[in-house]
Amino acid sequence: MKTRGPGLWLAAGALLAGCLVLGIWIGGVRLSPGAVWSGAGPEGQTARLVASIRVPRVALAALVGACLALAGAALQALLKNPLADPFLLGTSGGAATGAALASLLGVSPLLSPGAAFAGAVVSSIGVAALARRGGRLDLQRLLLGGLIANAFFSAILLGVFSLASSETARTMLFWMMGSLADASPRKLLALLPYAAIGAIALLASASRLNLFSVGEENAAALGVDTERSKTVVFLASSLLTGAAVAFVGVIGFVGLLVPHAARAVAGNDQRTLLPLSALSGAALLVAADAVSRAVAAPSELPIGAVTAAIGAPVFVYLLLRTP
Amino acid sequence: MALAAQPFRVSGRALRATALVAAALAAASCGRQDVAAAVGKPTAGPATRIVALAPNLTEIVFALGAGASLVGVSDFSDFPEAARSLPRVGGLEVSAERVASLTPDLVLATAEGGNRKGAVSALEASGVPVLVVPGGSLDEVLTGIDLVGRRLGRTAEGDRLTRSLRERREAVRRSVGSRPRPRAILLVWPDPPSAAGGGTFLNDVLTEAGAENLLSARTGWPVLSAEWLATAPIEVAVLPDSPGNRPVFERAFSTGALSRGTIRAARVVRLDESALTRPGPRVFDALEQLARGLSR
Repeated sequence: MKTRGPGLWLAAGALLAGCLVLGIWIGGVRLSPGAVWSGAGPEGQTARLVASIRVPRVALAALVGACLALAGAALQALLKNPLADPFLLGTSGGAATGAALASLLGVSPLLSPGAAFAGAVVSSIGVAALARRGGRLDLQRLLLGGLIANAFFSAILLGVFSLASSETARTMLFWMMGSLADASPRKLLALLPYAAIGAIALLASASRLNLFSVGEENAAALGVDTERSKTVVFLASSLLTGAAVAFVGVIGFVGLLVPHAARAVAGNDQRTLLPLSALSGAALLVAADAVSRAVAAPSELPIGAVTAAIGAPVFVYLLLRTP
Repeated sequence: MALAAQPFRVSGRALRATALVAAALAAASCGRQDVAAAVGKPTAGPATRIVALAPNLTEIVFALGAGASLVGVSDFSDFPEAARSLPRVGGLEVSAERVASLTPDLVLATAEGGNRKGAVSALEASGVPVLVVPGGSLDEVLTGIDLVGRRLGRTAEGDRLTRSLRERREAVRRSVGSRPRPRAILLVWPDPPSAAGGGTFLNDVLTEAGAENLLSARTGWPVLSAEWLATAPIEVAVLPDSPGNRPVFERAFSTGALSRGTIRAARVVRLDESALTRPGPRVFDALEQLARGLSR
């Protein structure tokens, strides 16, 4: 195993702190910390106003990034497949479909996060049911189930798009590309319980996930209740992904990329890897969001496009580096 | 056909496929005009069976006094009242089959939006005469009306209509004169907040009505960030108003991207959505209303 101990956590903490400072500092409007602090005069008032918009947004980005990276890391450990990702397993597709259907049916957008979360849960249960054979969760069938779920959900989404009015379709399209634009303290508080439950469940499963890496049969022989562990990890990851998609739309690559990078640095001990992934995921999404705010001001790039643009080349690099 | 007369057996499917290919080749070898003529559509003279693929085009045809020659309109064509009872041919995605089944001798498509591709190309390829009407600026709206008038054999009506619209536009220009120009944006949709940038007909409406468009340096329909909306020096926000979008705008103003800072404090001018956002004759009504609204 590689680097561990306090140095690693110090570095990860510094990375996150740096990204948070950067995230609050840059954007469509440059924010001077002094003006925010004093709040005096029109300039100070403007600075405080911008801060009141930006700080909740940076916090939401951090929370969502941590959720997605944690879910991805846990799924990769569970499925022993480096390509595992909440998006691959159809969870985010289900969430997106739930929200899209809700908006087509004229359900208030305030309830659409609920619909997205319901879609994520329905998709998870469906895929899990498909993967269950004789009381066991078959991992190959799980991946196949995710593939089928994604195909099915994208069919529904395309149908919804073509039936929606141009304005509704526009709103849905931007949500589909991922957006932190309407972050608020209320949203942050609403996401927090889901994030906490999912994160605690996964972090508590870390040592059992370690035993999975020696093979499922061996894990069972070592006394792990494998079926129960699989269900817990699968549902907790779905909860994290579903909640993230419900609140900020579809943001890809974080769940796939961050665990890879963390593994390259810290090795494959889930007790280190899971929290490290959460910290790095938070840092990555905060940085990506700052980029999305700054480069096209007064417009913003879709955050999903930024994560993919950063993620794809890094992923290629990791792939080439791996023996 | 020669193939069908072959003495050996040809499977039905192969035969049909071959016939289709042959028909396609035959169609491709004749000009568009020939195909139209072959299926009995007049290619000269004023159009008498018209399909309009966008609501502004429907309005132009009615304004030229040719509403009776419309045989089909887009789903969103709700003005004037008489347009509501006409056969529908689809909304954002029009159905080429539906349009063709109405045997039009002229299809009006808009140069703005998604009308140019897909169904429109299919219609053109099958020999249906298509006129693409411009609408990217107020000048182009007038050009478009002229163009449609000529194609409908109503050149005089077209001239009269554009002359009166030009005079009204000139009157607005004069009334605005050297009045101070409030800094404004024209929001077309609140979620995500999107506004009229430079190079759009709504940029013309906003500036000619006497405002300074804060987004004139951006082309198209930029999506705006909450931070910019809260801090940009916006004095007036112009909104399209309809029963459908009112609640969405209200939500954005109470809790969404329009709920803070300068955009929240800006004076709001609401204009009838269907008049404002369609590059047709009624956009000049919106121009006059906006000029009055800004002068108050």
